[in-house]
Amino acid sequence: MRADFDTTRPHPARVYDYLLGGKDNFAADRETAETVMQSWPSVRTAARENRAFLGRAVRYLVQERGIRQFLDVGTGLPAANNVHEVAQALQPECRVVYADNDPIVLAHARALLASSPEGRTTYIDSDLRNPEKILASPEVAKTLDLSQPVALMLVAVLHFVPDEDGAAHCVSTLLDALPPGSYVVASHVTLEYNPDGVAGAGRTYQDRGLAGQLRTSDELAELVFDGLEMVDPGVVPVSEWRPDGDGPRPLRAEVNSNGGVARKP
Amino acid sequence: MGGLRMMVGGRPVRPAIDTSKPHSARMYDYYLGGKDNFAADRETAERALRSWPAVRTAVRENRAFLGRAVRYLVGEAGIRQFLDIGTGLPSANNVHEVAQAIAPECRVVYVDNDPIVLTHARSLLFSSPAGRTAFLDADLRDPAAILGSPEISATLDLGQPVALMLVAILHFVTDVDAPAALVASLLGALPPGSYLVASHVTPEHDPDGVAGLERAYRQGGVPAQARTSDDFAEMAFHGLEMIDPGLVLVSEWRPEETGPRPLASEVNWYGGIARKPHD
Repeated sequence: MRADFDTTRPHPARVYDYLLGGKDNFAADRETAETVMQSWPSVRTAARENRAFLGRAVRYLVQERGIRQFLDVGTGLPAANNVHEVAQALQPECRVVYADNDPIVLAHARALLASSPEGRTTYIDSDLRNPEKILASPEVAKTLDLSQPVALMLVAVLHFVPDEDGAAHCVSTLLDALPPGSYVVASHVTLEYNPDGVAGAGRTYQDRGLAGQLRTSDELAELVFDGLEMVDPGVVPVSEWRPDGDGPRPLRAEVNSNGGVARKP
Repeated sequence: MGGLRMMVGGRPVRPAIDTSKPHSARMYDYYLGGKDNFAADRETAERALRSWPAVRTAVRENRAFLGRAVRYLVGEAGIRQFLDIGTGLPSANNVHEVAQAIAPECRVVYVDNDPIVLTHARSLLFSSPAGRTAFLDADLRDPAAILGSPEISATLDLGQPVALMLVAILHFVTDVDAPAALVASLLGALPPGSYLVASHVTPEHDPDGVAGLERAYRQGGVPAQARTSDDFAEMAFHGLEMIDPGLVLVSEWRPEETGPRPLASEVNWYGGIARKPHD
C-alpha cells in the first residue's frame, strides 16, 4: 500500500464503484456520491452508460478494427465490462495493461489480472498525470508490442485532470508512443445538457479535494481527438455511441457524458 | 370509468380531454423524454422524481422488459396475438413493432383509457400488411367492455393463444377495484397456452422513495398502489406456470446486455411472464 492510502478521503474510483452498486468503497466515497446525487440525481445512470460505452467500444475495436492490445488508464475497480473480459471473450489473445492511481484498485488487481491463458493482463500503480512513468514501466514493455496498434482507453478519467495539470500533454505523450493505426477511446463529463446539476456535482468533488475540469464536446474533441480520424458517429453522448438494441435510451440531461473513438492516422 | 362515458353515434366517447389533470400515460411519456405531455403531467412527474430520482431509469427498464418479453413470446413461445392493456403513448418497443419484426403476421389490440394515447396510437402505430393492429378506448377496470368489443372480435382469434400484456398498469388499480378479479376475467376468456406479461412497482427496495411517488400521483388525482412481489404474484400469476426466471426485477428478466444493471432501489419494479395451463 502506498503512503497516500487514506480511506477518510473520497477517491473517484471508489465513488464510481459505489454508483455502480459495488462494495469496494468507504464512508467518504459514499458521502461524496450521495451528495453528487442531490444535484445530479441520475448520476448512476451516467456511470452505467459510461461503462456500457466502454464495453461497446472495446467490442467494436476487437471485432471491427482488429485491435488486440489495450492500455487502459484510470481503470477503476473491477465491474461489469472490464476491458480484458470483453476483449478476450472475442479474441482470447488480447493483451491489456491497466493503470490506476488508487491503491484500492491495486488491491483488487488480482481480479483484473485473471487473463485468458492465450492473452495477458498486467497492472500498473500509476497516474495519468505521469504518462512518462506509464510508458517506461516494465509492465508495458513486457505486455504490449508498441510496434503494433494499441487502443488507449481514457474513459471517465480526463475530467479529473485540469488543463493546468497538463491534460493535453498527458494525452499527446501517450498517443505519440503508439504507432499509426492505434486508437483512442475517451469519455468525459460535460456541463452542456444539465449545467446546474453537473456544476453542483463538480463542486462536490472540488470541495472534497478532488480536482477536476468539466469539458464540452468541442473541448473534449480538441483535447483528445485533434488530428485523429473520428470513428462514426463522432463525439456524442456515451449512450448514443453505437447503442445496442432498440429500447429507450436515457436523456442527455441524465447522462451528461460525451464519448468518442478515433484512429491515429 | 364507464359512468364518464357518453354515447355518440353508437360509440362511447369521453368528455373533452382534460389536460389540467395529470395522466399516468403522459407522465410515463415525460419520463421517457417524449413530447406528448402537458404542464400538469410534468409537474406531478417532477414531484415524483424528487422522491424517486431514478424513476426514469425504472421506466426505461420497464419498457425494455416489455420489448424482451414480446420477443420471447414471438420468438420462443410461438405467440402471434397480443392484447395490450394500458398501452401508453407510442415509444420505443411498441408491441406490434417488436412482434411484427419477428413475425409480420402478428396481431395486436391496443387498449388505453387516455384519449390522447389513442389519438397518437392510431396515427403512429401502423401494422405490417401481413398483420393487424386495432385500438380500443377502454379501461382495465371494465374487462367485459374490452372482451365484448368489436375490435377484439375483428382482430384476435380467441380460439388460439393470446398474450395478455398488463405492463405497468396494475399499480394504477387499487384494491377497491379488485385487480385479481380483473386479471382472472381477462385470462378466463383466453384459451390454455395463452400468456400473461405483467409488471408492477414495488415498495420493497426503497419504501420512502416509492411512497413519495404514490403520494405525488394521488395528490394529482391518479390512484397508485405499489405492491410487494408476493402480493403481485398472488394477484396476477396465481395458478399460472411461471416462465424462467420467474417474478424478478424487470431489469433482471432475461437481460440481453452484459453491461452494469441498475440497482434494485432504482428499479423498484417487478415483472414476469406466465403461461395459462391446460386444465
